[in-house]
Amino acid sequence: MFSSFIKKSWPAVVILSILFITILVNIPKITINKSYSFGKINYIGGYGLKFGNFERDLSLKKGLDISGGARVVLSPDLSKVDEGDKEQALLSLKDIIENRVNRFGVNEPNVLVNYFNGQYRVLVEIPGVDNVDRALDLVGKTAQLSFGIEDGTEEIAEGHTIPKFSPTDLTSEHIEKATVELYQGKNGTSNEPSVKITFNSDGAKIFSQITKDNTGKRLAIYLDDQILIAPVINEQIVRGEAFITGQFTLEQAKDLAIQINSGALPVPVEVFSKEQVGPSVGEAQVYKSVLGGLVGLLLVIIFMILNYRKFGLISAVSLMFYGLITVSLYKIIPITLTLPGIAGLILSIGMAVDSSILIFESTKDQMLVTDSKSIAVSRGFEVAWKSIKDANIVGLIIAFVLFNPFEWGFLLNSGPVRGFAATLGIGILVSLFTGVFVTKHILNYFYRNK
Amino acid sequence: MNILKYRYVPYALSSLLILFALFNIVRFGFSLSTEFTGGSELTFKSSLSVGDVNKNLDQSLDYEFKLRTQDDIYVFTTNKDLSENEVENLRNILNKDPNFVEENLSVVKAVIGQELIYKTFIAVGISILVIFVFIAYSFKSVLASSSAILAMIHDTLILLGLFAFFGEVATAKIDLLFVTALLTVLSFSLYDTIVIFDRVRENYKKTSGGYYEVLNLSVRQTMVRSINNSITSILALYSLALFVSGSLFWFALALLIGVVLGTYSSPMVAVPIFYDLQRLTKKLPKKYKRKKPNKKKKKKEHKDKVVV
Repeated sequence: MFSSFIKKSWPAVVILSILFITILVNIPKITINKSYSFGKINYIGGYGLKFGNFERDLSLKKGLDISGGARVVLSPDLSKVDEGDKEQALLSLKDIIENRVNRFGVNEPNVLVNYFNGQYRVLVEIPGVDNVDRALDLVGKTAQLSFGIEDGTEEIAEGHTIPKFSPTDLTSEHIEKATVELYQGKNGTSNEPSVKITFNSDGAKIFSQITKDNTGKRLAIYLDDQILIAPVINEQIVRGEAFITGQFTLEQAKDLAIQINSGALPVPVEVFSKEQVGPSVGEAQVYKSVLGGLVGLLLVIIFMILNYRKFGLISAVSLMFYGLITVSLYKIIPITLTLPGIAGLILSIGMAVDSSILIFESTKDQMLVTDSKSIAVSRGFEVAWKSIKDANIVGLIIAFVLFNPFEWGFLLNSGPVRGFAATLGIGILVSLFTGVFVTKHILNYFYRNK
Repeated sequence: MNILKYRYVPYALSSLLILFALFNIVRFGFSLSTEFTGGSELTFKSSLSVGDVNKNLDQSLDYEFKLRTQDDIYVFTTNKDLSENEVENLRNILNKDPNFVEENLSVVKAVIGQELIYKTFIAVGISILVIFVFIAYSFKSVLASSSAILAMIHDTLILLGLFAFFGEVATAKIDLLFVTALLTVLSFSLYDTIVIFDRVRENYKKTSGGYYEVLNLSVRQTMVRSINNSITSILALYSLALFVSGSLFWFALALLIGVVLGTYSSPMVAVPIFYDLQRLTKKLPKKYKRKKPNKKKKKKEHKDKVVV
């Protein structure tokens, strides 16, 4: 009895549980702040996912063309890196750049390493940033800190001498963290933004030794071989802290701290191109295209209902289901939504609607030759499934080759066309589920005894 | 409805369209966006007329540029990647109009876009090859896959030609969005053809008729579905095109034209080509022919089953 119940109703269970999950994923955060007899509810919706290392805040990631932002292409100089170490260097380059942008606190960046015509390039897209030059300063600087100690003088012009510095053992690796502080000055007279460097224990020892041995001399702090500051050491410093002051604005101090904290780039990079994508264009256009999309969807549903009556309603339900699942997948995977991505979505919606039309048409054909509606439904499905299968396989082939999941070098490994392929592929798979599985079981349910 | 009898009508129409497309492509070329050519592009709004803006710029700039407009949106392009100073200079000139609003500025070097285009071409080539093999295998006919691919090339070529034309007379540009639209149209075209060929395969098994009757019957049977399907796509895309502007408008328009072309080409181009290829190959040596005896046997089996 129970097993036959499961046999009959598992599709309904699957469909309803997926419906429940996708609704949970898509509920926006609504603040309630009301007390009930069973406890206080602060808010519902806006849920996130967390299993161990896997974490998602379930917000829809918008691409550069939608939210606006900066796009910077860097070409790394790998000439001094051994052939075998190149891959490692590029990977850590990517990590560090990602890390820097993340610490910058804007939306998640999109960092891609590209290989073409014997050249490596790093594409950095930072959504939501409206100052491409600042973004460039942030990601494009090597940010290698080094320290030098005064060692005699050199004459740069007649009568002009500057101190000469010799390198010390202290490097970026000895730094634990960098923080932004307002430097009070010795007498508390100034109040300028500065970066405080805290050394780790090894670093503190070396720093203490250096400052002890060289009291009265100048200590130079270099950033990428340029002297930032070269103060005179007044006394031995045992705390393991150093301040970098200078003509920093608060913003510059923040960026420098981010650069130091995320580590130096393993190789120097050169700016290849930079581009600012206006956010206003994106925003207004996206709002309009969503509006246009909704009106279009409504028209499609009206057309389907007028044309196929009850069947049309069923396809509207499975279409809504399709929307819920797709958006949930975008949030969970996550997929960055770009305009080409929306194109892929539109095509796959078209294919989903077409699956329904194919099924309805062939079911109608079958109803002409048989009296039993349930038999007509299952035969109609059989016939329609063959065309749906072949047509969707072709779509999946295109999505597969364009998306290039195995990262073959001769195919695309970045860029908007890949976004198109991703949404197309997901859309086709989901439309097979909703357009075929869901539609079939709703139809079966209505015609189960007829 | 007898598609094959009147197939010279779509042949003539398609030939005209392709000639028109080729003419446009050769005559005007493509107006590629800066993504592909490199250079700088500034999109802005201004209340001045095109002539005035053009005159202002022409007087002060020492490099070549193009100014295009659609409604109140102006697009300034040059194939020079402008320096900071040059951008500042450009803004100063445009700022003479108090209603000047900068919408988007991009300064791009060409290599990235060329790489994308190059790799997209390779990817499309590979996709077509795989799809060719898949259709040939699935329908047991190289002719079927050839005609499906030919119809697809027909659609993309005409769309390219139209956009070469729109690029000349309006602000349409071949950008990455257009490339994705082209990919969409390409998929849609194949999709539509396969649905018809699938019906052909079924009918070929079921009925005793020759290809002439089977193809005609299949086109008739899939016509309603084909038209309904494009109506839904057209409804969705038309409302999208109505709302948006700029590159998104051209994107929606490309898809819209693509849907119409795809719906037209599957029954009117792919099917007649398939029929004519079938006819032509019958004059070829034996090994190119379909194995007839086997088919006849199968046909009879199914003929008995078909009665429901």
